[in-house]
Amino acid sequence: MPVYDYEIGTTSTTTNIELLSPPLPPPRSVFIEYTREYDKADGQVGGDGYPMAIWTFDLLTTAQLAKLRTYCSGRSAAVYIRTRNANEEFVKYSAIMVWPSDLMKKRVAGKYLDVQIEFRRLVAV
Amino acid sequence: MTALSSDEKNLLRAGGHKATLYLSVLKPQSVFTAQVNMASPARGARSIVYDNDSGENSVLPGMTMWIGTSPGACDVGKVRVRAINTGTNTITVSENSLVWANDQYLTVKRNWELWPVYPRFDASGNFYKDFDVPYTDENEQLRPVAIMGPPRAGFDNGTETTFVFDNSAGYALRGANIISRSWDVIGPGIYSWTAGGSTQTLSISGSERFTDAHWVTLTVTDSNGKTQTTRRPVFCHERTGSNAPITAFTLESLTGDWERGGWTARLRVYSGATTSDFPDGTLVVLWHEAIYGNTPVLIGGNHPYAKNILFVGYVRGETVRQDWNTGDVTFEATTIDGLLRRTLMFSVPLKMVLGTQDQWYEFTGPTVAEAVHHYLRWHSTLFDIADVYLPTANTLRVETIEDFAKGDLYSQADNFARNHGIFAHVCCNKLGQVYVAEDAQMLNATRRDALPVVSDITAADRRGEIIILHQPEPRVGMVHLSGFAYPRTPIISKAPGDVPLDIGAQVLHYERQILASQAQANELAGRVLAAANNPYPEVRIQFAGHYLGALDIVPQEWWTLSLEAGDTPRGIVWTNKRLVCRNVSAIYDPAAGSILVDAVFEPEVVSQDGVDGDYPANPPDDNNITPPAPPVTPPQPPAASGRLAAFDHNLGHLNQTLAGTWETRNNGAVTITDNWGGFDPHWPITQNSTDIEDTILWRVQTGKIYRSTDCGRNWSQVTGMGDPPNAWDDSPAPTFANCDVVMGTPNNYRAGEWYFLVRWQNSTSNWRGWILKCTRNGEGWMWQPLGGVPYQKIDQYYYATAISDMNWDYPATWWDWNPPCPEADHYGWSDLDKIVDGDDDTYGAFWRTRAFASWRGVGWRVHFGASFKRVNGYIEVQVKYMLDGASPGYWASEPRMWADNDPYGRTYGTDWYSQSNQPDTWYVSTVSLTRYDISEWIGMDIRGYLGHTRARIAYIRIHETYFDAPAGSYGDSHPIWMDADSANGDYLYVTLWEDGVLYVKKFTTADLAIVNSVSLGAATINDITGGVYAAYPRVQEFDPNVVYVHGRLPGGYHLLRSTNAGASFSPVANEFDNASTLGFFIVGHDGILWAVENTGGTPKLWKDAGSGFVLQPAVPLSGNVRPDNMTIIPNTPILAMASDTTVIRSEDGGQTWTDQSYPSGGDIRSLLFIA
Repeated sequence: MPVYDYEIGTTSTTTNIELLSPPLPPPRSVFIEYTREYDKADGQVGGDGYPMAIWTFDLLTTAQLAKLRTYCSGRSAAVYIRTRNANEEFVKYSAIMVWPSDLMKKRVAGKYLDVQIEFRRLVAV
Repeated sequence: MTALSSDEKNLLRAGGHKATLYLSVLKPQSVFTAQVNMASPARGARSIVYDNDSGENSVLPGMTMWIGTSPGACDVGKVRVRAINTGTNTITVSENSLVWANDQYLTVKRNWELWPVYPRFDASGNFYKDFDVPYTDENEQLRPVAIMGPPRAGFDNGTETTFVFDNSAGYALRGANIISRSWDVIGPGIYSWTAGGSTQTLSISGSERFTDAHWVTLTVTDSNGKTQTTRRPVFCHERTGSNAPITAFTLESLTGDWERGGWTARLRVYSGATTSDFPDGTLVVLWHEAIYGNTPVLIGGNHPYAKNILFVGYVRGETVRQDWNTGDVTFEATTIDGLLRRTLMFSVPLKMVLGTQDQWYEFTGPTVAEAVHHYLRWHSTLFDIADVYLPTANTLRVETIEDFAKGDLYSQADNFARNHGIFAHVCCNKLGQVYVAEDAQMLNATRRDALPVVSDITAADRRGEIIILHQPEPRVGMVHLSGFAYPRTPIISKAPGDVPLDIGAQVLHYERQILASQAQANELAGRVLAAANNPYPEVRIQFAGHYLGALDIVPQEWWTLSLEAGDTPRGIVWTNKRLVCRNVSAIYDPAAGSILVDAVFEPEVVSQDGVDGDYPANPPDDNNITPPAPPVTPPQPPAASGRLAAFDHNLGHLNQTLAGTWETRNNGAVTITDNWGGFDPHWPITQNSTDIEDTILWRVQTGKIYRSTDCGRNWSQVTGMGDPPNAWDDSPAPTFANCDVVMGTPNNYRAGEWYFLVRWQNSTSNWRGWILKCTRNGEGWMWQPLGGVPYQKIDQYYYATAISDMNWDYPATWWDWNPPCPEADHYGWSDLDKIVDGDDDTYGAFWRTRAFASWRGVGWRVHFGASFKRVNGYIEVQVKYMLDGASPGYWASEPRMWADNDPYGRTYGTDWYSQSNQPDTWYVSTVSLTRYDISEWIGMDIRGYLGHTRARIAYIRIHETYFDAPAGSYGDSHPIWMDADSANGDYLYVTLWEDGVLYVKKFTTADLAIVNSVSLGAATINDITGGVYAAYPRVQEFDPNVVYVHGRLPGGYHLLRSTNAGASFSPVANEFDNASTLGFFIVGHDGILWAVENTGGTPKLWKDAGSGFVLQPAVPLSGNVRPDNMTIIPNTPILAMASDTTVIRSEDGGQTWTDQSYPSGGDIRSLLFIA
């Protein structure tokens, strides 16, 4: 049984990443509620923009990375994910998945360390 | 835009704004193809016969047709389709200058564009619009205005795309009403319309609905039965795939500005930017979806059913960028005001007519709205493709309009409505809707109160800082405003009153205003003054998020702002201060999906009414205005009295009697040593007589000028001219009594105006010369020294030597410079070799202002270390400068010159003001200062516009002008002869010797200013006084361009002719002996040339009737004929000629002569037939 509820899919029918083949380890995730922040005249901090999530995998095999790649064959792709939001709740979103550009730096002995996948323009579905 | 609701304000202030932008591009499809089928079509043909056609039933008036040399090409040009006749295979197009050819390819596009429509007069004087549309009743029953909203774009729901239109908009003019609206759509797909209340909903289905834009058509009909059709494209899109809108782009900037009159967008497109994807000049629609917090909603917008539209514009320019790997294209698009600006239009006058209006230019009492409607409706296709909101609330009328002066379509309308109308400005909102909107600051209190308030601006609406420009010192001290209340009651007003403000150096004049009353004019003058001196001209606010929908520059609406004393360091206190938005700029972060907006507002001003203006004590009365004198018909040369008269250096003046004897007439003349004499051509009018004994004669001698009003029987000395100016600093100075008056000549067009040549030798035998001008028969005099070089010509650029008295009118402004100059003697760049070779484009900055804010500037004095005088009425000054702006549209300009020595008067000698000056470009502006001489220094200033800018100045220099000459630097001058033009009496031609060169010079008769100078060759003074060379000007009668110089000239010439009003001369072919002098020459208005060749013995008479000079029979005369010693009665064969001592006369055109028994001992200087 999966430990967490991180899911991904090309449609709104998503799959827990721990149940993929090969299964992926659950990532450490960050949820950024406002992607543009600024100081308002009343002293508050204004926040605009779509939420963004970043999944960080401490270690992925080549096969696991290839599995992720099936969801984003180009530089970016429209996907659906379920991820943990700022309230620690798992919510499904449509998102733009951005493929990392620094993977070769993360490759060690056939494994990939500290892989970060960015999901931007999150819209709850 | 309407007032924001409280829910909308809450959403805006809560943050969490998200937006996604989309771009739709019009790619017009072809509906008709054919080839020209005309053997030799004329250039600019409008009826084009075609063959090999396809789709002719799809052609509609107003569509765009491409003409090319290959199928689908546009390399020959584009025209507007006016009609098609499918029976004769003839397509009628708009006026054009295209070079048509047989078999050219024609392609009609499903597209309606902005076109100019020209007025035309035919050869019979009939006036048309659009080449052949005659006037019927267009200025009495004006066409209604159809309002449809902007072009649209939206997402399909899988089966159809829907668009909602307002079925209640539009308006009619002159009391008419809209009575019906008819909707249609053209394009691919299946259409259905659903009426609902005041809306019409269009649903587009069918698989082909994504292949092209759909043109929705609205035709409104008014209560007069007049119609107007307007069209807009709508775009159907799927969210993904090939039918999706463009998302691979970034919005680099989106800016709207009230002063510029519209909006501009810069879009960088990364893919799909081919010319077929983005046709040149095509329409683009920028639209969006937004989420506020978690609420998908669209806030703001100027159209209730098009809130998703952010910008509608036309591609105007592009920057194509390609490196080794990737490429992109940056497009600049403007709202339709930009298209209006690019099109030339001719002047369009409108005048009131009482009775039947049957001409296009007859329009009785239009309002500004109606006049602008006439102008734009009948001279463009604007109403066919855009919403136009005219200032119909203002019902003031005008009798005659002359202010649609030739220019571009935008400026003509704006100039009239704004500068000579009702302060209404042509401005376009971001949806591409054109407003002719009265400036909110110019409205009275009632109408200002009627403007809606969009929202208050709280701290929760703002991010970052708020900037308030404070301008405590007024800039305008006085406003003069004048115009008419309909139909022709003149009104003059001024503000603040009889006395200007104690601060404020400028005076604003607003003329030809359309007014209601004196009180309204006074109020308006006060508002102009208050607006010009707004102590808080700008409030700059950064909004916290996506407020773009709610902000626009038209329609003008209020926002309110409250400030407490502690909010600003200066303790500004505002309570619901009303602000009007003048500038909006937005940026978009596509990764975050956020839009941030900045805006500049103009606070409302409070004004005091002006006062009644300065009316003339005796108002002009049209009935008593003396019309300007009609052009004077030049009096004919002497009528055929046949009476001869002579002016003789030994015998004085003589009249020939009927008996053929000579009567000496010198009574009243102290001396009789005449140098020249002649009659006043205006004498019959002056004397109100045709009796020859009433002829007015003039004669000149050494130190004397005489005038007679009884044909020489009595003479009076004309005095009052004083002594000539001692321009040469001679000692002793010249006196008129010692000067020779060589000759004179009248002005055929101005009675009582004479010009005399005067010369004198100083104590060291140096020659001096002057022109002496007499007006009103001796009541007014003017001297003009001749000769030499009155001013030392620099013949190179003369640079500023110092600057001083720098002043700036804003604390943040400061000034620096980086001496030393590359060349030690000059401030400013002075790379003279580059100046010489013309390659002067590599200047470095020398003077530099820094970061002066909008409408602020810096002034300074530029010292040249010497004085300069205007020569020929002007001094050329050049400034080379570069304006560094933060971004396009933020620029500095107006390097201007103050009136000399009046830095605080700021009466500018000139402006170099130009809105076309772009940042980071070196400009060289040259100005001809005509108002004043330069006394050591000139004042200049330069100012910023819109935003923080600065300016660099490479140099300031005087260009090919002249030093003021020190006294005594005039050269020697020996004037010889003179003639005045008889075409309009505006110029004099003078031959003279100056410092070794023989010249013919042209002067104005008005102020004796030199116009040009042509060298006739080198000569010594002895050549002139010894008779080796002689030069006499002679102007062809009634022709201002043809001038001759005769005599004996360096180079062996005897006769030169100019056909360009004395600018240059060429030899006239002849067979004169090289040793001879052409002593007399005349060319009549019949074009016949007469010349007398002085051989030293018997003179030869030559005549040229058009085929060259022909020697006439021998003349029974011995000795030379002087330049004024032959005379002709026009249109007769009667001639007379004189040597020094003998007079002969011919009645047969010089074939035979009879001696006139002139008294012995004479020295004849002038011989004439008295009129």
